[in-house]
Amino acid sequence: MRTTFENSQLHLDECDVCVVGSGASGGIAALKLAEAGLKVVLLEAGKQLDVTRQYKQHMWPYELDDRGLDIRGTGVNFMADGLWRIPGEPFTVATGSQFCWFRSRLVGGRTNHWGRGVARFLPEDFERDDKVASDDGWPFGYSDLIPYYERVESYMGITGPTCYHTACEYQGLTLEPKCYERVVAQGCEELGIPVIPTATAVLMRPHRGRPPCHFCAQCPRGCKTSAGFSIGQTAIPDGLATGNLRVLTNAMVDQLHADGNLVSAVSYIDKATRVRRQIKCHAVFLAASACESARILLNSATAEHARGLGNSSGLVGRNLRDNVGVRVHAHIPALEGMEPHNCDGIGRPHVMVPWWRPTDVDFTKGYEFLVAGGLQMPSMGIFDALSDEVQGFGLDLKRVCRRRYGSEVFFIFTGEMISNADSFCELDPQVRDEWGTPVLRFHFRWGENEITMSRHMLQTAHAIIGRIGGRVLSCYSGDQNSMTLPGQNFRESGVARMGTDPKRSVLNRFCQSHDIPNLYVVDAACFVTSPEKPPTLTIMAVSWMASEHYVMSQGLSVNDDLTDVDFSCGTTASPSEILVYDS
Amino acid sequence: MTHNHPTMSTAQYETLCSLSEYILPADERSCSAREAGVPEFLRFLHSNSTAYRDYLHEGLAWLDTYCLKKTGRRFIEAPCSSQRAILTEIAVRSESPTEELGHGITFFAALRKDVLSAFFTSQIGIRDLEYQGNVALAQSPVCPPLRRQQRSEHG
Repeated sequence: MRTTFENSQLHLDECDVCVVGSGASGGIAALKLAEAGLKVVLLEAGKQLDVTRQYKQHMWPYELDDRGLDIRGTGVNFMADGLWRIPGEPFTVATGSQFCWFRSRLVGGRTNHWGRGVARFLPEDFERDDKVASDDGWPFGYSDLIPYYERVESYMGITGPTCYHTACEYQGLTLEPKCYERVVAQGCEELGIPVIPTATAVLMRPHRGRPPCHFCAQCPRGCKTSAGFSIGQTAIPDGLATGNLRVLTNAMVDQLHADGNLVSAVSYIDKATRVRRQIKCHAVFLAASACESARILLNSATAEHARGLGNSSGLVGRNLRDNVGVRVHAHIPALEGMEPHNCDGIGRPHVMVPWWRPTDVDFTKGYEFLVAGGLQMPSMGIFDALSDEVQGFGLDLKRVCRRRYGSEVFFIFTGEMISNADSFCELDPQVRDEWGTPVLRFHFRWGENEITMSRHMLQTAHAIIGRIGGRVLSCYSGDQNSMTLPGQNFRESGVARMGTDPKRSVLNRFCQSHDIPNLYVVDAACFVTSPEKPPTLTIMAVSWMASEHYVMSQGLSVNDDLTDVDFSCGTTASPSEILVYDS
Repeated sequence: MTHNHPTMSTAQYETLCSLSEYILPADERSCSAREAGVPEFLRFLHSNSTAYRDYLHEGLAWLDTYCLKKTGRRFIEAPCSSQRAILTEIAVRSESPTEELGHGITFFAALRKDVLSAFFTSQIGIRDLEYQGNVALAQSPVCPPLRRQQRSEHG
């Protein structure tokens, strides 16, 4: 059954497993499958970044011609990369809906520029919520995922407590709150709102060949040293070191081919040559990001699989969710006149507020929040709020700016969204991308629970800001409920959900298609619910579990004990020297 | 030195220089917005973004028209006292501006934001604010205690 490659020279047209997408889930799957001895081809629709030259970490605003304003709309300026609009690859939004779709077409996907926030979901997050009719519960429990959480945490290297419920007992290293965080935390304490250290995939000590953080606070621009975890700097070189992994970039997958009830090949367009190619394989791991994975399944329909591959349930594309987002900008006079000091720290706030279950709420599920601000690197728009408040010009204006600098904060709320029947994606019957593939059309509606929750977020912000003598400057309002637009929280999920009942789910508990046993969908498409916690840790843990399931189904053994595995990548290749074959 | 920019006239650029100087002049701590290169950056935005081009074109045209009416000269040729008087008229927050001043007030509000942004993201402006970060440290910085009730009124 398994393919043999002579001297690691992989045939382009054949492999054991094709992994589609090289982000958090695809990177982990490719690594675990290759480590087990399977020949893996990893297809990435984007390019390989030259970390040293292309990450924008440490750059000053004046080193960019538009100072990070992104006037060309390409999204590449002050971030490592990442795009809300990709030329030639549009998507459509149904009348009456709004949706933004962030696609990071890079080796490593969004892990190039994520905030590095990590948290385990809580035991109750996996259980069925009787108050939510659409909720079937996850097909496994928290305890089933613990070993994989531990493996992923050990592989990534974490600072801070990843379990909210054990945060108070956490004995590891945490970071001091920043100056503005101390003020906000004081207000929270007086209101009975708990503040805990954040957990991040940022190293405080050397770990598996990666150095500790140097505290430049620029994680989202890409971490050149790899102190902040990214797949492209860890799982990809580790996978390549096994000799069993081949990475093809600019490989835009559009279809899977089935032979009966098994997937047998993957079609992709080599964007560089515009040539369509095919890879035969014994299994496919879809990890293209939730909505892109759904698109590939829907676009793989045949007479035999009329609704799309793996879609006998009709649920591919359904249950589309993002998280609820509310942003509140405030001025805190108590922070004015601070002694100039470096308050960068790591790129994510050092403390956060997990859902504290206040008793007086009229919604189900919960939210969490972080507060950014303080003496950050000046950026475009730095004194917009001030400018709206003052009159005049001249020396007084200059002095007022100096006094204001560092005294503004931004509350960033993230809440759970419940699936609803009006939020889904489907193939647009008319529009195709430049490769001839039908594009996705999004339908989206926030439910009553989300709107009620967003009001509570605003109340909470107002209460804390008032308590510390501040005032609200503005609330970001993407829509009439002061919420961010759907998709703007980067947390799309649910469009190929797991479950025990093949009629009510697309995948089983191992992310394996109910219809097509050699097809796995390991990105957030598989999520049954969307808790408010950062999802990346859970995405990687679930992908690790699914990969092990496939490995064992092939009669191979897995490396259960991390201490027996040498993951060190520092000696073999520095991140910028990763060997990637262009297709 | 001439500024033969394809889409911004010399007169427009000089007006922008003058406005930058008025909005953020030099003091003992830093030079003016004009000296910090703000007009050059705004001209770059003007020639690379339709949104900036339109608002700057229309705003600068309004300013000259209004100044001609008041003083018989375009803004850049008017005496300093007249320039200052006109800017004082439009550098206000007004809920119900007169029809005559409305466009000027909107333009000045937008320009002031852009001049502040451009100045304080320049090397000179970042030094002025005494931003201490974007350096490599061995340990996470620890913020000092707040100096409560000690607000600097003089920069």
